[in-house]
Amino acid sequence: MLSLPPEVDRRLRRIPWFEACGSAFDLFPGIKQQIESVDSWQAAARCCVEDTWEHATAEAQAALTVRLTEKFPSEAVQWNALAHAARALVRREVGPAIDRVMSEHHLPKAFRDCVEWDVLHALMEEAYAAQVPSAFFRQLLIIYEAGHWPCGWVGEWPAGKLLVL
Amino acid sequence: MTALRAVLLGLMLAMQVLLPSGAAGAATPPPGVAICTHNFLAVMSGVRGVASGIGVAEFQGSWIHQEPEQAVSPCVEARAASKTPCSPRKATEGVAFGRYSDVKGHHLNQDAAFKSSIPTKDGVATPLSGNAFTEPGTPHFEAHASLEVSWDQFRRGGARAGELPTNLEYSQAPLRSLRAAGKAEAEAWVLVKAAAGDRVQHGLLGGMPVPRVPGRINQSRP
Repeated sequence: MLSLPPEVDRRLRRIPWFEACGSAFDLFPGIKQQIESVDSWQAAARCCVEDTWEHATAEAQAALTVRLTEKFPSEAVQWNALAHAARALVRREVGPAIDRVMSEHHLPKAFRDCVEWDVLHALMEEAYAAQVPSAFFRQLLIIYEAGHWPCGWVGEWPAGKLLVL
Repeated sequence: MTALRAVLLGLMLAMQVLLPSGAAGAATPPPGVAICTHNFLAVMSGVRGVASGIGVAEFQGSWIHQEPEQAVSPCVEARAASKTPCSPRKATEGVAFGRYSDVKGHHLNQDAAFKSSIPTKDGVATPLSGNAFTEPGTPHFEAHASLEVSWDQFRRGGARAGELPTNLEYSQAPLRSLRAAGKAEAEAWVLVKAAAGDRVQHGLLGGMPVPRVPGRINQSRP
């Protein structure tokens, strides 16, 4: 029986959610993806509703789920139970920070949708790491851990650059 | 242990076919739609061809179930004998479906979701007129508009974002989409059963999640 990684709730609790947004960044450890910076909350909020970002994050999800259903059906049937648990955890551990930032910067609901999607799938990638070594969302989590917000994509997936506030 | 697994597999296959309305079980087949062990066997081995009546299915080139009062179409008999593709018949004469490479039209198991498991050319399809992207009001456009609503709940921002529908749940989506396309209830059920059979034939059992949630198709409505 698969489960979410142990200690993951503590890991989420330690993250300084969005505290470095707007400040300069250099490189994030372990991330090879090309990155471009975005300089304001409003610009980032516009980026996150672009089709390119939805497409990129949907394709990243599909890279995991297609491989699972093809090669690991016994593990794949546990997807929804894990996703339920992950969503509850994300809402409990990240929800307050999302609420705070949405209120401070007058951000749309899409902000919450994007962050929840990213973090939930980072947990799913962790849960299925033994079956499928996909790492897109786990790399996003590293950026969140640095206090930034991965908010969009330029270019045609899988080529292109990640946008980060 | 092997026997137990065989029984469980049989049960899963039966669920896929006998409960095409999904977990909620809200819909029931209309009068006249046969859901029977004959069809179950057909589904296990793959449903192909053009049904000349409700509850009729082709079984590897021959028919294993047929309503007594209905005749097998000469077209299908010819196909079974010669292995040549059969032209789909008009829906008013029967329920037309077949391999996408033969009938083109509309994939009953949406290609964008299932192509990793069901090759595009092999997927079961039915003729639907119109362009799915640019012609609002046509059956093909409205079928996809309905599918988009079904998928939206699993996309970012949806009520079930991050989850995947099971193949069993997915059966609801083509049923609704075929209704939206103007298909008669009985015809829609025949097609939904054919789609379920195609999934099972490719190893996609009812309790398993669909391979992927397709991206938005961004239909243009005036």
